[in-house]
Amino acid sequence: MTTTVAARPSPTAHTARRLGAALATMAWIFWAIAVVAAVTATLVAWRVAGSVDVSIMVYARQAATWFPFSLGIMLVAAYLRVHIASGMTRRTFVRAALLVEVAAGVGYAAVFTALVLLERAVHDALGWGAVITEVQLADEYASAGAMLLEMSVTCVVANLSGLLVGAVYQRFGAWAGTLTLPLTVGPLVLLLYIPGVRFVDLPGVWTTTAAGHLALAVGVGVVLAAVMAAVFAALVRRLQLAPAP
Amino acid sequence: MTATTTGWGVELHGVTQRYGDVVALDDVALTVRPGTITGLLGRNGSGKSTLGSLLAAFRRPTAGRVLVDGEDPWENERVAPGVCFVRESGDVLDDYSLKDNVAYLSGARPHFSHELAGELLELFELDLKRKPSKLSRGKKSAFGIVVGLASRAPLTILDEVHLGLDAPSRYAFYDALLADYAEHPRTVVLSSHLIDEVERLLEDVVVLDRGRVLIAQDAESLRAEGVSVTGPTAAVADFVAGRDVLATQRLGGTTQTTVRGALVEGDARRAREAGLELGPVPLQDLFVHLTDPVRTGGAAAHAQGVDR
Repeated sequence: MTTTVAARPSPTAHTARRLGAALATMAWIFWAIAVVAAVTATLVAWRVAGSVDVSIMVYARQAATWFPFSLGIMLVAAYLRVHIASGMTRRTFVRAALLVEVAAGVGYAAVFTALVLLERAVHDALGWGAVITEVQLADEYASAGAMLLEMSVTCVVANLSGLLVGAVYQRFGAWAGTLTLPLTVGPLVLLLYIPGVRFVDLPGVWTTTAAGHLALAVGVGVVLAAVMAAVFAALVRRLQLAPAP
Repeated sequence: MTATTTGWGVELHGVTQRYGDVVALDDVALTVRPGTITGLLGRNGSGKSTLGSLLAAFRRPTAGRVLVDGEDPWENERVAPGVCFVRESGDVLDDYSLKDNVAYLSGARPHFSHELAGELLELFELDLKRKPSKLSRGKKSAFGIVVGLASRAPLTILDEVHLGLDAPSRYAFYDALLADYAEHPRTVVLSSHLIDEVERLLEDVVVLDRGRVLIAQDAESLRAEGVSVTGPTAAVADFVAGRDVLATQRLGGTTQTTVRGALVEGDARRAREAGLELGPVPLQDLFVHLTDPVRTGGAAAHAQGVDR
């Protein structure tokens, strides 16, 4: 005889709220530190050189990529087991994790873009430049939309890469998790350094417009994100929990 | 949608679970009756935790079929919320307060009782502001009990949840389990090494030995099957001849033998005439004798077991 149990809130939404709250707490801490560091660095550079003609805030790009990446690994390690033990399926965990990590990626990109633009406005007001020396496509003349789009793709891929690394470690153990890092993290590194093409003179597809570069990077990023999400889902749906916690 | 349920039944058909070369469960066929408290007994490494893991869809069997309330529990949206498997230290958010843990776990359990959770937290003197990672072993176990009972899942599996608990807390747990079970009947599978303590709770008993089902029957009839025969050695030997002898102890000319198998008409009279004393055998003694590696063989194989 089969029986039903009482209704409950959507497991995907339930876990997404929990994961979202955890990531939001860490994001506040991260951005507070990033802003303090950027302001401090700017003040020091101003005292030393008299003016600051480069964007300091943009150097947060690497940290804003790798920090949430590491949180993605932690998220799988800390929450998947509890999610299943609480009577929810792997399927709903996959949905919740992907939803939250994509949103977090866009959120980090939005904050990053806003801070870079704010810094640029301050530099303009002080008569300073705001040259972007970081290896990214969006330079100091790029629109806010272009910068947001490029950073969003990078951050989303970073977060999905973190989930993927976490899933491989959980499913196959430490050795396999480490040995497959070129596969699980490689795409993120590729995406981070593709923008380097704007500093070199290459023929063919590379000698295109800024918009072309952006479209290429975004296209590659979206494909990478889709593949990573699919592999993450496939790994987690077959994942068996260890005999003892 | 809500439906009244008295608990979910469990069926295992030819279930085998391997971890590499180690066979944790070996071609297990088993039925757990819905609406009962079933004791899952077995020595370390007998496969108890693995069995719980399969029922809660923590794992998929290497071979065979697992059915919970008639369906495969693996990635089953209907069955998953109705199965609560509490392992030794619990699967909780270690770095969040107990309050946050209760909020998260309760949101996933359709029958979760905040009232019962509150009572149990108070009973075990658990501070909601503390984090599981900061709790002692006993307090961690107590929180696992809170989660397991307050979830009121139609199939609740409690795997050694009393570890580290002091005696008063253990007895408080047994009383709370019985009281809530009486008010909200469900299927409870209780795994424990403290057989003498949990014996009074059990309606059915499953004994696992090296991954195989040794016994699966109701506790009352199992208790009735164990008889101790005490008296002069020759008379005891004569009386137990042809019976399933589980253990024998000798002290001088007196022998005490434990046999399995219900007494038949006339046995009591024969024993009395031979000067023998017949007595019940506690479930724990039966368990110890039945799973004695010397008796069941394979002691060497047992030694290579893992925590399963």
